[in-house]
Amino acid sequence: MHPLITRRRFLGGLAAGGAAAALAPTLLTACGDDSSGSSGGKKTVVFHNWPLYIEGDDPATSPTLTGFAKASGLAVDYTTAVEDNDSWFDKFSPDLAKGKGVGVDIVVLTTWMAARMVERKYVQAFDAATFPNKKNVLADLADSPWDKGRTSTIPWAQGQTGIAYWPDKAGFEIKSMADLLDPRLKGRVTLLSEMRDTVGLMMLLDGKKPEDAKVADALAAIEKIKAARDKGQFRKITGNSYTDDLGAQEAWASVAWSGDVAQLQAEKPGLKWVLPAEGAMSFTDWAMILIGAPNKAGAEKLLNYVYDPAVAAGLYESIAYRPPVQGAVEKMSAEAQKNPLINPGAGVKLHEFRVLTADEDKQLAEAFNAATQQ
Amino acid sequence: MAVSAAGRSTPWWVPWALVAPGVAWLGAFFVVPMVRLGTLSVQDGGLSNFVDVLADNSEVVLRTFWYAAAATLAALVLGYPLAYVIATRGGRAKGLLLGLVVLPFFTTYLLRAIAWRVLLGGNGPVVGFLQAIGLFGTDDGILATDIAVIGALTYNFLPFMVLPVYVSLEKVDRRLVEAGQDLYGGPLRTFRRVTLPLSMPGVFAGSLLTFIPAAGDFVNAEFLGSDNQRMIGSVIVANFAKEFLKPQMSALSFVLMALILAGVLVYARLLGTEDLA
Amino acid sequence: MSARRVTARLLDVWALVVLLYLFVPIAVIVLFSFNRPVGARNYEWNEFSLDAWTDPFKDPKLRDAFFTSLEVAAIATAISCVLGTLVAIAAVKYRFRGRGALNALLVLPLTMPEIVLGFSLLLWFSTLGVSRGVVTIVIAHVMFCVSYVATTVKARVRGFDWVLEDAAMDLGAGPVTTFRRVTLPLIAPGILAAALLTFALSLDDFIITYLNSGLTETFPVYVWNTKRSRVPPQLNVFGTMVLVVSILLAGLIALSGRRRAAGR
Repeated sequence: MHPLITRRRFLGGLAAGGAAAALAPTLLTACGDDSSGSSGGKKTVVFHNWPLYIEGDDPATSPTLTGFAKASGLAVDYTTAVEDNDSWFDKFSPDLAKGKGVGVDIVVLTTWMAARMVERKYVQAFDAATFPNKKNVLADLADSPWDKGRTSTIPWAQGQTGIAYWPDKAGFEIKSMADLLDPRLKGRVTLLSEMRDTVGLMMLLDGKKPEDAKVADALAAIEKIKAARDKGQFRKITGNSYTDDLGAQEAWASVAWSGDVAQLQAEKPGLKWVLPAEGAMSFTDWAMILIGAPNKAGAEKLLNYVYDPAVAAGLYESIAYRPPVQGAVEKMSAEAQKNPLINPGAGVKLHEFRVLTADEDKQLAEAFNAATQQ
Repeated sequence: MAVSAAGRSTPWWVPWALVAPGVAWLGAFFVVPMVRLGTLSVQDGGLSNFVDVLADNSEVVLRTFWYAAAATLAALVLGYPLAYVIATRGGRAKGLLLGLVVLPFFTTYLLRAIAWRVLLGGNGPVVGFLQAIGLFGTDDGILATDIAVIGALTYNFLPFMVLPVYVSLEKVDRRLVEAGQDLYGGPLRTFRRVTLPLSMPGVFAGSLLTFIPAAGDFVNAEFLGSDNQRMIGSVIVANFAKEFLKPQMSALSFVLMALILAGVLVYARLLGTEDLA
Repeated sequence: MSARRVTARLLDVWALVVLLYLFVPIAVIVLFSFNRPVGARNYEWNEFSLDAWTDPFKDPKLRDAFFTSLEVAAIATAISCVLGTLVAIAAVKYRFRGRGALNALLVLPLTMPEIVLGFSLLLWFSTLGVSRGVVTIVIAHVMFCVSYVATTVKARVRGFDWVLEDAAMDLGAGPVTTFRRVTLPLIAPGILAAALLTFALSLDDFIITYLNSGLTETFPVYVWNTKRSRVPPQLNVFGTMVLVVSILLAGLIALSGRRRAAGR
């Protein structure tokens, strides 16, 4: 008779361990904790946002979210579910197209995608009674041709797309998108998977203005990117998770978003931010309430809370994006008020991609996808 | 009439009734989806979808095959001796040693990948060591290389190789080995002519259990590799939600399955199919 | 003879090296649960801290994801064991047409990479208009676990002496009673092994789950999603907890087995 541990028994035991390990925390927390849960409903606000758009990118410690939870008695189920506009849209639009809610109250998306959401009626209009602070929106953002009078979208942040790099690792000063194509940086460069940001910057390098973009010029820029990618120039072409490689210095130069870089610099000084000499892009991200939202009133309360200048001051100083709320900048520290990312002067010339027709959008999106994700 | 193993005859419907629920589940959630995958893969273009997808992704397909094959070979080289030592010299500690081999499984797959990210990072211990002994310069790294991804793939599937090889080695009758030693003299010869062939079923099973999931993986390539290490799984997971790419991604899935089948057939041929039973 | 000893020594060293190789990442996981990282991602050692251990549920979504993983694993294990055992018994006990095809069907999911299984299932759910969540995750898990259960139980059932059933029935027991009181207890160890295997597979599954989970997060899906912004040491705390309890339980089972064997 084998007195030994049989293999099957040991394997079985180890597997059972998983079961018991699970039970332990169950027992610990089963008592008394009203879990906020991710099931939504009247007690929770489900919020999908980009990374680095709340303090510390940590919903458990963000003063804005915890302050709101305390003030309103609602819990916030906050996820950095937006890696880039397309991937979020691809995941949720099938249900939205059928008029079904997706269990999400608020999502934040960039201008061109926000316009699409409004056009396709995937969003609900704000109720002025629950969201009175809506009137605090900055004058230059108070109206858009694609959403008159800010009926259903409200700006969350405004920033710049430029280049972030580690001077010591790169070994030379980076001043332009052309430097990102330099063979010395092979395999150490990341690009954004946002077509308008990356292709816009490439077009500027080619001397073309994105606001007058001709499809042929955009396609030429995409070709250039594809050629460089096939040669192995880029480490990754991703959405917001570029901060992983950049922060760890595995990537030495990235196309990056301004506030992300400011927050990374706070952790790791030495990271340098530069607007390409040939021109940089600006972007605005908009918060909106989706159709079928489990808790529309709660969502409006949250947005209302953020649009209080005192709250906005703390939030935007921390995330280093331009606050869309009147009076917020004045409430910030002197240092923050001098930060051009938060308080850009009139002198900085930034570009935005022109509005594309549905066909152009499709053509460029597919070409860009083929060049960078396949 | 269905005949039971004990000879008693039972109503014909009994075995069918027993298998029905399981078969229905597999039918509804495995067979039908695969058929749907098939019809999608030839949508808007028919068989040319496969040609296009292969042409566009030839580098990725070859790389996936190379990574999976290399990981399987590495798992064999690393795992066979370990299985051999446990089976032949393990003695009372056999169970414990096998338990140690399986232990890594009881942490989440993704956490293991993150652990490799920590170990192989530019500011991590492995690079630090290589820099200290002068093999690496300040700008050299292991992440974003083929080796990093292959190494992690090998690691993750090593227990899948060790266990089947162990089982088949353990079944080897000691008397055969002794007879072999009398016949052939040296331990190496005996191993080659007696033990190794008898362990082939285990080697084959272990290789399948390594090659197949390695070929379909993307997590390790994602965490440890760059764009230049992307595998078929990476491409599928980056594009699976895009409506306009559904036919291509479906076709790519079939390419992956074909690649695996090719690998298995080549391997079976190499090993000699009679030894596989 | 010394050549043999040298070979034996070399093999021992090699085996030890491989075992160490298997352990290093596990050691890293445990060690880094005691780290207080600079920045959002727990990739570099900074300083020793018990913060993560004293506050493992800092992110309630992590707790929710873990419980969802357990929930899914429990349900999927229960369903797979029922379906798989029935199939295993039928496949071994009876000779009927289609048995070969059945065995082939059972093996097929095991020969396909998860990305293909998961992607095809997602396409199917989309076509049907089924929204992804806990139900679809369970369905997916049962799909790939039934084969594991059937294979494991089949191996056990093969050695079963069906004459015992005949004896019971001769004594007057109906087929269901026979199954309940004769067959089931004797094949129970095989079913238990299959159940434990299925539970472990379901807990750790990522690829198929990720593609079919919608907004729902199991623990692996949570890790993937959170990595976009943060890699907190709390992940390592959970990983370590599961590991430790697994070892303890395995040890307990082994000890009880040894005692039982010794007492025989």
